Amino acid sequence: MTTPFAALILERDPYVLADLPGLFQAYLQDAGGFLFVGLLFFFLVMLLRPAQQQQTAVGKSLSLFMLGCVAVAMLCYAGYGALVMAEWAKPGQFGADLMNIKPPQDPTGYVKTVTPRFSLLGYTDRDLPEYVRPFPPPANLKLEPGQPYPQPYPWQALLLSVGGLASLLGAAAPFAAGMRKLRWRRVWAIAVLSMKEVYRNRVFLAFLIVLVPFLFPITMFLPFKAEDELRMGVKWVSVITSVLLLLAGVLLAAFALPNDVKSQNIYTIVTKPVERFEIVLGRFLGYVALFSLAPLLVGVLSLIFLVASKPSEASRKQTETARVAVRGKLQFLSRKSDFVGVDVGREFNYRRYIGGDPNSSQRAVYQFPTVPSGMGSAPGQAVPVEFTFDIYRLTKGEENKGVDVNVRVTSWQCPQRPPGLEERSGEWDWSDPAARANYAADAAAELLKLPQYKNDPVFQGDPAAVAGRAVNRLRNVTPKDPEWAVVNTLARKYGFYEFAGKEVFDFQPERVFVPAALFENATGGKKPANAPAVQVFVHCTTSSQMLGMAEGDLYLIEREQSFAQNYLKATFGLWCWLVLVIGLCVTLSTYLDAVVTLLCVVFLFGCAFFAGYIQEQAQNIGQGQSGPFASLNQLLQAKSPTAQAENTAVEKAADTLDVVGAKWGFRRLLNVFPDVEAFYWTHYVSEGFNVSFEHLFLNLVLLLAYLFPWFLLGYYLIRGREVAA
Amino acid sequence: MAQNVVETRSLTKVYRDFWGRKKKTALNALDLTIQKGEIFGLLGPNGSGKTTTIKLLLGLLFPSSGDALVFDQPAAKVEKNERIGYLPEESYLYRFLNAEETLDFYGRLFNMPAERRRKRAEELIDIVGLKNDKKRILREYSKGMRQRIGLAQALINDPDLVILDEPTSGLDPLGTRWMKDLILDLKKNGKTILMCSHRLDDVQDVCDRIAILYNGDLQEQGTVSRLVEDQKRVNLQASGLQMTDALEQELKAVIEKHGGKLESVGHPTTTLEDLFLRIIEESKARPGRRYLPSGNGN
Ligand SMILES: Nc1ncnc2c1ncn2[C@@H]1O[C@H](COP(=O)(O)OP(=O)(O)O)[C@@H](O)[C@H]1O
Ligand SMILES: [Mg+2]
Repeated sequence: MTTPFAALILERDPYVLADLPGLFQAYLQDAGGFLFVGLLFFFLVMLLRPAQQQQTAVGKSLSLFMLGCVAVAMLCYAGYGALVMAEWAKPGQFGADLMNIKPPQDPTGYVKTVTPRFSLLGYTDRDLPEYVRPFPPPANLKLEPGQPYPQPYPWQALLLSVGGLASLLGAAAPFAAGMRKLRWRRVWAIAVLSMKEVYRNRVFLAFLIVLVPFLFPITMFLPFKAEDELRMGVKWVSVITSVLLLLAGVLLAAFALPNDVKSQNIYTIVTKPVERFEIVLGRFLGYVALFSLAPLLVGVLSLIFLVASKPSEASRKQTETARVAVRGKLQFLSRKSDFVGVDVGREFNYRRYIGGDPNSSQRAVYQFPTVPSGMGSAPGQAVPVEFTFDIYRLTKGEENKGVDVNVRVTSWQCPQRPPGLEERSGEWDWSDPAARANYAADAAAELLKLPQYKNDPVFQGDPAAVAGRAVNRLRNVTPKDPEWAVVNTLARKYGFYEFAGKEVFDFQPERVFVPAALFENATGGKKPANAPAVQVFVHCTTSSQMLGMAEGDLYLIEREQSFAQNYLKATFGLWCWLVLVIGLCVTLSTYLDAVVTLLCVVFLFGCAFFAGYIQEQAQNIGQGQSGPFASLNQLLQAKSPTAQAENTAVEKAADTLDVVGAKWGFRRLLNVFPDVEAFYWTHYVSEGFNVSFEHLFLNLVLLLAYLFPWFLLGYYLIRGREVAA
Repeated sequence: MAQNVVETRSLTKVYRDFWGRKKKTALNALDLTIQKGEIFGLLGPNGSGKTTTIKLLLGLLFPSSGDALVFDQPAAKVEKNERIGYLPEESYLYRFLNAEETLDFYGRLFNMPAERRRKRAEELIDIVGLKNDKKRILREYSKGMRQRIGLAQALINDPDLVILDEPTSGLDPLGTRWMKDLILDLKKNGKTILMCSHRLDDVQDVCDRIAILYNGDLQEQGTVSRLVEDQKRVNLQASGLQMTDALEQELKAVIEKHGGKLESVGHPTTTLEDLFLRIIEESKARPGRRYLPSGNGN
């Protein structure tokens, strides 16, 4: 539950604006698929239940439109099916089988096992080109060495998207038509009624329970290490308030409509000129309004509480900030081209390691595709690079002594190259040695302009030796030193900076400052499209030690913002959760009984937390792990699970069913679960990282997108419901 | 030309359970028409399908077969509700609201602007006689008071068709009388009324036409006067004389001469309802009137 170290473990990238097209495509495919099934069901009911027909009837032109949409979607899905079949028969010819792509094997990256729930592909466009691989790997697909894996033309994706779009339009058409009749005065009347009900029935008193834990200082609950006090405080407050508020939200929203039906109050409402959906919307908005203030209120109160509980200085230093971090992609490089970092075989460890040695050519390279333009003029002409590394000791080192690390930062204008296989030194060199020589000469010249070096005998004599010493001297300056101006001048000109001999400790956050002018250099000029703007090379120089890191472990700090604003921003995530459960409750209870609704929503929301695990299981089917159909086959034939597979036709069929059916089914299940983790920001706050408004905006998009199909379902259900039956 | 406000064509309702199995045929091929401006009564014992008929007309239930038309529109159409007022069998309203808030809420559902809502609510609270209790929440109301606010809620939109399900149930005789007068008033203002009841006197007093339902089947339909009047029966009433044997004999002879048969003679009895009403009226006129065990009640 608790992390033993001070690092933000990013299990996934938060969504950014650039993900929107990919998300939209995935949404069309997934939500569209569900709506297609819903539409088929709708027409089935219309055919079988003529009595229902006139109640839910949608008008002639509208039903024609819906039928047209279903026809288009059917054609698309049939085309998709044909392509999948063709692909199985002749792999690599018709584009990858998008139904069965493999997950990204990127153990050092943000562990991207948790992927957008909407996606039939499982991945947004951002990930696609690299990871699309047919599965199971076709045996008869032979690639020439160096031949790229066939990149499919996305016919399949296109067909799925168009089919999804058609279904979406068909299903939403009556809804959209009905929206024209919607009157906000009525919706608002029902919303206000919901709020009054809570207030007059004194239900709100139950909310006060939320406040009870705050009567006690946080340290009473659990003894923490001093530096963890604030961090754990934030986490515990978040857990307690979320659980209590969510519980209150679910209870209120799940019982609202069923109670109206049971008490028959709904008779007097639906016999007024009220569109039935207005009742659903009114209830939803009423509870959302009621709960909108709650997270903020609880946020402010708990913030006061956290501050008042006087956390230790050490913990405030680690947590009481909101760093705006710029993150990059991590690559492990050495003189050997196949180096991917060392796996030290630690369980549950997603870090990879580089070996420590002054002569090692192994580097952890963080590549930043772009950097914010403001960084060049950072205050104090210094931009912090912060990192938290794991030290894996091969021999028992000295107690309380860290390992030494060199941090080299270069812009795209200063490319580096690894040493050749035969070279003795492991040092990486500039791709342009002449530029390096100029840099050294300039370093000496600039340094000698400073008064304290003018008469320093060390910096007299042979220019090459002096240049070497100057470069060395500049590898150890901080922004407070007078040499900082020199470092900046050089960085502006060459886009190069190195800090040597930084001592780092196991899981201790450390900082090295980079001259801001380097980022000026990086944002100037005409950068080739695929070159990273800035690279950070990490080199461990202490022998017999391994240094481990993951993508989230090193970042540039653009600026730091206040902890309080970040804390309150993160409550937006809690608000999203509340809106999510209220929306689910209200829409499901259009048809289901209150208690059943309650159970359903708790199940949906609860399982969503295990979605990552479910997804992992689904991915493993067919790769060593047998799926439900294979197990069933074994059971039926009374075989032990360890028996050798005989490759009979039945077994093959079972395996295929597993891969296609069970995996597909698992993914559909995942679609139904809300992506709860996307709204969870507490770990950002507790680790002192800023939650950007971009992330929050995408939260809102995600929330509305997830709820929309549910609301469509609610729309049809409440219209087709006999409220007096 | 008389206009059909309500029309049903072989309207049938079969209640089914979740699995579609038949539970009960509550209404069987009902054909009805109700014309503009009349008071139509649905009469029948408990469980005969009266409420089911009304729910079908309101779209609370969907017909198993046949059609239910109101204002020439299918019952499922929401728009027709603009012109309908409905008082449920039990008035199910939000108990945490007071009378004013209740009417305001229902006014909003008609998309009425604030000023009109306020005026209409005041008017109706006056009509149903809840002026002194308008700030109390409905939880504290008695059954009769709830029936009154329920009626007010049904009239908030000044409807053309008022549907009342057992409007007098739970009311005292005074309330019953008041309700009946109100129904007649509505008719006078050109409204069409559909009410159902299992109490014959209610129906007889106010309805122009009735339909008698029993076990989901329509048994009888027609104007009240035609259904109730008995062509072969004559009522005599006289005053200023005492009943004697001689008188009875003579009357008998006269009646037999005309081919009839004297069935009974005696003092006229008032109905209990009449008596009750008279006493209340007298008590209102003369406060302090009390019942005394001996004497004639003065
Ligand atoms: N929801 C229901 N499910 C099953 N049967 C019902 C339901 N509502 C009413 N009934 C049955 O239908 C018949 C007619 O009921 P109703 O119309 O309420 O009668 P009335 O209003 O004339 O007393 C009764 O036998 C009743 O038991
Ligand atoms: Mg009834």
